[in-house]
Amino acid sequence: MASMHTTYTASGSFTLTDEKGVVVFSYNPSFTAETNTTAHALYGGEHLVQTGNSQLECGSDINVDRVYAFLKHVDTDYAITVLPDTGQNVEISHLKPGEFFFAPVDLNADGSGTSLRVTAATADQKLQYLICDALDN
Amino acid sequence: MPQNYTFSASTNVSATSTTGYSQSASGNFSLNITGVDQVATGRLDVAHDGDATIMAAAGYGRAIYVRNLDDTNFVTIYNGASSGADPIAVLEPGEFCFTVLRSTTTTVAKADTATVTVEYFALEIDTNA
Repeated sequence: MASMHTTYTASGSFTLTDEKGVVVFSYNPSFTAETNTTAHALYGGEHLVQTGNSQLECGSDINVDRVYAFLKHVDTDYAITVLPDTGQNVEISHLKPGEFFFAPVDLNADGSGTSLRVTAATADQKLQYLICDALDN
Repeated sequence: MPQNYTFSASTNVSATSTTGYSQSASGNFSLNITGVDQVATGRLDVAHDGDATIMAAAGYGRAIYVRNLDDTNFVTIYNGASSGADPIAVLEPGEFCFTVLRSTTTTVAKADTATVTVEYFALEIDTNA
């Protein structure tokens, strides 16, 4: 039986500067996840997010308890909200044009989710994404 | 304290299969923020038997970063009080998350099994950001 092994790396840089030019904080985190020897999928692409809910469907064979999700708003007009596809009704991100979200996400917190729900305000908006199976916690 | 700030964020991610197939993505943006009332940053011990507040309810929204500094246990970040159904992120040791939330809820963290230390910032943003 074939298996799929994936390696995932992430790095970031976050800086806050005040009006006097003083750096309030600066963080430069990075990690390389332990190789996932039971991975089932890594997805990437671009999606036209609808105003009435769109699904970034990951499928039930992915580890729905934890996926690395990177989402970037690449349009110019209206915000996009992001929620796991569960009974959850609290957004995990609210992206204006140009902004991004990154997290290892539990799609299945209520036991039924296999996707991310994304919704555009007012009119359809484009979103780019990379989603990869993560090791279970 | 000063009321006007510039926040800059960038992230690169890459996923590679042993077949050689690889995908990567990156993003960067800046926010000009006025009227900031809350900037919280540093390190925080997060217990497994109760919620640790990353940022109390903001007036409009906030940018949140959390990194798990523990060697063993994971930590879960929530939008609102912790419950089984509303996590933002589940962070294994060394992992981090970043999100922007435009809501007035509290952001909390809760560890699994034992107390962990997290590195974090929580930056209140206004309606213009």
